[in-house]
Amino acid sequence: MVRRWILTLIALVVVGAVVGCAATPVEFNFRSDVFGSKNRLKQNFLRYWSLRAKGEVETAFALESPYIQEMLGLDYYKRYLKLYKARLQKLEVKKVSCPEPFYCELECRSVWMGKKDRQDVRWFKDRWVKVSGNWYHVLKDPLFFPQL
Amino acid sequence: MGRRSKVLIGALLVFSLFVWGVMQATAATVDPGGKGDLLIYPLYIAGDGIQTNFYVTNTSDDQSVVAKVVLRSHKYSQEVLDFLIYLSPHDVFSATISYKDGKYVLTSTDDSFCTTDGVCASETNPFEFELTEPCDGKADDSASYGYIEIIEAGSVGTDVTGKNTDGSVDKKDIVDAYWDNFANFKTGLDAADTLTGYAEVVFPGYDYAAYPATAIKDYGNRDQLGVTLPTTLGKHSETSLGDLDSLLAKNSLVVPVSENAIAIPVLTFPTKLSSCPDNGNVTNTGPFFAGGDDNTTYELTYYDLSENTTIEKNPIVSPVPKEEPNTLPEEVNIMVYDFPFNAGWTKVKFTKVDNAPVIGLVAEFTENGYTFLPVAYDR
Repeated sequence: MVRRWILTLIALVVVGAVVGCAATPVEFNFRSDVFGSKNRLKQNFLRYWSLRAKGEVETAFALESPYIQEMLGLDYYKRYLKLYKARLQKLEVKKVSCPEPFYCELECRSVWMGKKDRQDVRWFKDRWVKVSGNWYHVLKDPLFFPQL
Repeated sequence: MGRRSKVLIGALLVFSLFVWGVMQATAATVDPGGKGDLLIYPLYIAGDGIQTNFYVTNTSDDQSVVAKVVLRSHKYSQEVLDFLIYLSPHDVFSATISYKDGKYVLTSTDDSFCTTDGVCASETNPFEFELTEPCDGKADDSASYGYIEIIEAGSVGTDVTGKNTDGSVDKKDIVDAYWDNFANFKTGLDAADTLTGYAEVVFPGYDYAAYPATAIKDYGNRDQLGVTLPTTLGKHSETSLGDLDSLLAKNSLVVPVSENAIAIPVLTFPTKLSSCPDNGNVTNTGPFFAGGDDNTTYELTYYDLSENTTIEKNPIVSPVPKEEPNTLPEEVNIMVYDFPFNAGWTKVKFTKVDNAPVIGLVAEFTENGYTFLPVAYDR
């Protein structure tokens, strides 16, 4: 009886650890004033990358710009995101520049955890567009979406 | 003039034409073994989290090789970076092209990457160079993707560079021999055809796809190459740009599409070598392209696994050319189109001119990942 109880407890701990690892939130890092007054942009940015990190693809897709949703479709989008096999661990926003009132570019430094726990640092320009008062992510990749 | 004289003159003319024809024929070939003295990597890509690693190997047992690396932009073939590498026998050079803090950079810790003073990159002294924005940022071009040329300047044996007791050759000795004693280098058709290479396009977390470089043997660069002046294919070499047009000429390309995959052909024209627009006018250097982008007019024919077919003369593709809907307007053309079947293949056939000088690659991705496939072709 005691042995069965201990085994059950061990199983619960292991499952909890696995679930915990899969749901490890992204560590965001940026100066408090980097987004300026663009709070909605900041909220959607945090939400979008948290969804991507958790693998909630369909909800993340809804945050892509309407143009991208229309041009790519959910199926193509899902296939593309599967290429990112690594886990997003950290995301730093170094700079936010908005050349237009409805368009902003975020200079980001990301850290991904790949195979055998190797860390991979990648920089990228994260683009956002404002449509009907809401901020949407602009997915870009010249190889897989040259039409965008 | 007597009849005999006319016959003699005629024979001399025929003989002269024959000799001229023999002299014009190029010795260069596209090497099926992947080794040569000119390598072309039809795609590098950086940005949006993606980076490209590329490698150059000197397969020679006894010759050191000095080569010039040239990175060119995707639309107007502008040099965005160039430098020399110094490869000892059996040596491998590696570098990474990526996006970093607002700019595109090439980084390397490889000791084949040296300054003229013999200071070479290392783990403790990494080299990092920013890629130049093409056309001063005034044209619709960028350094975010493009293609790479590796042009062998010449090769040299250990009788010139010396060697260590273990048989290795010091990089500084190769650098000094190149800049102080270039006359001792083998150049032209005598240069070693021992370079080979490949590139990897890498996603975050190291998932990647790799492809081999196209190797031209007996390209035959004749002159000492540096970085002060640009180096253009077909100049300073035994092989002209027109010769390269002929070598790379293809009539049609086969793009395989596996079950539920998305296949993206990448078609690169390394002999086009166009200029930045000047009042809207662009000049193409390659003889094939002197007639304009019209020469790349093509049609797509789709086949499924059961040989059903449909022809698309005016597909919607990207990049969308300004005038003709079915030409390929850039140096590096990434084509996206709707394949109408689950699986099969696509024939890309050049229709205005029989053969276009193109290097093809297919990025194919499925639910399980992605890979680069070679492109079969007809000449």
